[in-house]
Amino acid sequence: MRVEFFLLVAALLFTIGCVGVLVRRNAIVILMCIELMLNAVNLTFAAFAHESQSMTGHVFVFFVMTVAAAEAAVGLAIIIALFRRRRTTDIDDASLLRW
Amino acid sequence: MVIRLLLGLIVVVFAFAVIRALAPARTVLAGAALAAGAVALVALNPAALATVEFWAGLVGFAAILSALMIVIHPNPMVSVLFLIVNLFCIALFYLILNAQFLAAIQIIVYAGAIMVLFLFVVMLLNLKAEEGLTARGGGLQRIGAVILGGLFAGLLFDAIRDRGAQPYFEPGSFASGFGTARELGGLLFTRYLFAFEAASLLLIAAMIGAVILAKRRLR
Amino acid sequence: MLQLLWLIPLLPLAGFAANGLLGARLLPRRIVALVGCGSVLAAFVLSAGAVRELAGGRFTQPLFEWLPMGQTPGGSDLTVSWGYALDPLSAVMILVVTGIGFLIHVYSIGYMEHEPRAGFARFFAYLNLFMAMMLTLVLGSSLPVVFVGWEGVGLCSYLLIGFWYDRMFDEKAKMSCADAGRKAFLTNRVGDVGFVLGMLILFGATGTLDIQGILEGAGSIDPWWCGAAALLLFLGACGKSAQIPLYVWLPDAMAGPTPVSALIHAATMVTAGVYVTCRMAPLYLHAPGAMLIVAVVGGLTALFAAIIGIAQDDIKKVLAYSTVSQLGYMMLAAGAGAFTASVFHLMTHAFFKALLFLGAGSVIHAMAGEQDIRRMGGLRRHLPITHATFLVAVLAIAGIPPFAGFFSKDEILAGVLEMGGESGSPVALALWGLGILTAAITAFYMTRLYLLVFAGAPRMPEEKRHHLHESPAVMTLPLVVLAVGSALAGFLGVPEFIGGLPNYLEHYLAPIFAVSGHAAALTEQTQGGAALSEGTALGIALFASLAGIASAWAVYRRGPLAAGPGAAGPRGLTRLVKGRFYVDEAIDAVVLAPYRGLCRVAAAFDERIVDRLVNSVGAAADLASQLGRLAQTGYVRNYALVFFLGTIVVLVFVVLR
Repeated sequence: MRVEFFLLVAALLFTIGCVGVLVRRNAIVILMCIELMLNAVNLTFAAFAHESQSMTGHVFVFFVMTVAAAEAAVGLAIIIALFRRRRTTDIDDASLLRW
Repeated sequence: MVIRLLLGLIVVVFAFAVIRALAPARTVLAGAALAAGAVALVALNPAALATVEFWAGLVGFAAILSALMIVIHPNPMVSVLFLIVNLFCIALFYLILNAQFLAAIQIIVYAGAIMVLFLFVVMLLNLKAEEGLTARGGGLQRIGAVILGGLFAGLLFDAIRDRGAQPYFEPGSFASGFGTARELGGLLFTRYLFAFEAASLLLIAAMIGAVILAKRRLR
Repeated sequence: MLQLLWLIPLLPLAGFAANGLLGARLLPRRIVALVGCGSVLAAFVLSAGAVRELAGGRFTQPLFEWLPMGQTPGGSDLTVSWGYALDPLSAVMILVVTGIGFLIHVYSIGYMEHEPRAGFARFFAYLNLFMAMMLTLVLGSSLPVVFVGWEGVGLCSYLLIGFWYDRMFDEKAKMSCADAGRKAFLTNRVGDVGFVLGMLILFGATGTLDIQGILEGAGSIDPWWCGAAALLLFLGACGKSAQIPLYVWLPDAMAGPTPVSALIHAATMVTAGVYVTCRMAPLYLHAPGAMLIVAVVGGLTALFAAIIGIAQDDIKKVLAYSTVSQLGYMMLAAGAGAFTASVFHLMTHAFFKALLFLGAGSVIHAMAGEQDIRRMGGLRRHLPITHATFLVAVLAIAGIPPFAGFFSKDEILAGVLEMGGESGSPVALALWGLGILTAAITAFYMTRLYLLVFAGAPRMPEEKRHHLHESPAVMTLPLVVLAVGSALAGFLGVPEFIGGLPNYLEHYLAPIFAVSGHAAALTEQTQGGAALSEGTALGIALFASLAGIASAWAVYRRGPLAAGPGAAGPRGLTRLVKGRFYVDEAIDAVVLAPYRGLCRVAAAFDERIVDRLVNSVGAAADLASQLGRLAQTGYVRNYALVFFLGTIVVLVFVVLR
């Protein structure tokens, strides 16, 4: 079982996450796509840890998960606060910098 | 052989999707027929079921499919559910990769806590499906994103291909304790202690921040 | 006193600074006048003292190194230093300039008393600046210093002619006083080009810009270059001294106040050209062809301007053309080799022309601004002192003995006869004839002027008659002093053959104009062999003057001619003369109209091409910003897309290396 398989799957997941961030308009779905990207990265770390038989990769995954959790919480809190004012989560509404 | 089986199963799934799209009334019938087809395929190649490659491929297929559905489906609630499926697949991957502890905490923390949070928020805000994916920011955005995504994927594949590493995975040749909580804890409390403590600080900050941000104004 | 030579130009300059900076607001009128006149008086006293101390030698006073210009390959230093030099020629000049300048300053106190204080101070400041520049010109020991003074007097004439810059000078030609000043300046500029080129040629030929150095090396210059330099310097002199064809500025320069006309256009600035020509005498003596051209131009100018002067009706214009004519005489003398006569006439002309102008100013003052002589008449009863002094000046300029003009004009004519060493040559005789004819015409129009202004019955309207009054003492006193000068100055240079008094001036200037032994030898040669003996020539000249006076009296004793202004269909010749031979119009058509066309082309080029080019740069920036604006959509997703693109670019470099 070559480790490249996992790397490829992770790469594909990451790309799909990127495209999702760029294509979707709902802020919450964008956050979810970001979570998807983070998971792809976690998978990559685990694969490399497996290949080099080193636990450092797992430590990285641990911390990435921690940060992802914190970020998801704060991000959602922000979205809720914005939603209260504007009644929409469409990020195309955040266009004050538009010419 | 594994590849063939996998491909066959993929074809079955896609056929199901197509029939469901074209003839919604015949879903159950189509489902039953295709399930039979899948079982037949599996029965034809029983040896493939024992290989790790098959299961890894299956899980990979599921992961990618669910990821695509997150991005494509308009309804945010459905997107959340597909994300949960994706996280499960990742957890299975962790198991295959001998990262048991990570698999556990993936399900407990990620799928169990973070996704619940997402669900709560989606239901709180009572979000409707997006009105199409047309963007006020320009139709160019969608096409550009897909093209760039393709480019990106190509570059990554190229980088991975050039690795030139040896196949490594041998189930039996592992140091005992690889991937266990004990090993991980050992590293966390010695070498990565500072990062560990900093992460806890981060979590406190995030907690406080979330509370303050989402608070209603005190009148 | 000689050591204080440098103070002579500096004192009027200090007066300029004081009046210019402080006069308008801080100093009362009296102080302004005191500073203005006092600085010139001090300069005059210093000049007198320095001249007395000089006693005929030559004194140089280099002050500081001005233009460091390295060294020649041979090792001699090319640096131009700012310095002054005093020798008999410049001694005569500075005495004339400061003396008559002082009198005119005093006169101005009275003439300009109606000016508001700011204008009064400005006037005296400009007058002082002019004096400083003129003295720099005269005393300069090297050509660049002279040139600084040269340009300075040009500038000051512009400032002073256009003194009343908001007034219209010539309604018909729509020329304001400022336009007249500009015309003077620009016409002088044309001459200045010649001066600079001549200066450069001399520098190239002799390797020095010091005047003494140039003159000493004049003998060794290639004759062709010598002639070229001489002619170019003469071109500059034509501009300043109003010879054909650069005289057109002088009649229009009458737009300035009358003291300005007296100072600049009679006594000092216009003589700068004559002074430089005489100063460069050795140069001219080595280029006989150039000298001939100088003489011819001078003679033609004299006659031409005199003819135009007959038909002028403005009192100042008559005097202006008279000035041009007399300057022609001086150039004729210089071209004929009679440099002493030229300087002598310069000196006497300064006296009587300044007197004429100041007297005219007195008349204009009394007539409350009227300048048309057809509307004057009978003023001798109302302006006795002005009348008497004016009469002295008229007789002097007409060449009646014993007044100054007689002696100086006669010396010129005698010199012309002997020109070139071949007395009796056709050219000399022709020029002499020109001079005689001009003398007759000069007498004619000056007598006409006198008769129409002072004699006969008054022709002015009734209300003006009551206003007629003699000018105050501050104006009439300089008139008297100048009249004495006009009467007696002639005795300084009585020509040899008349006998009686020695020719003081000639002896005084001998060291200068005997630089080249050539001229001295010639004069000795021709003493006895003139085609016309000097006595005969003198008689003919005197007869010409008397004839002019007599004919003018015959024509004008009853007032202006019946064919007055506006008479329909004047005869062709009259119209030509009255129109001043249409020279101004010709210059306008030949020189200025193409120039204006060129200006239009340049303006169009500037507008269409250059401006469009510049604007297109701005338009390009605008376009670029419009394009750049398209990237600022304001949508975060678009920005994220660009991030992504950037990441891919980096990845490309990393992966595909």
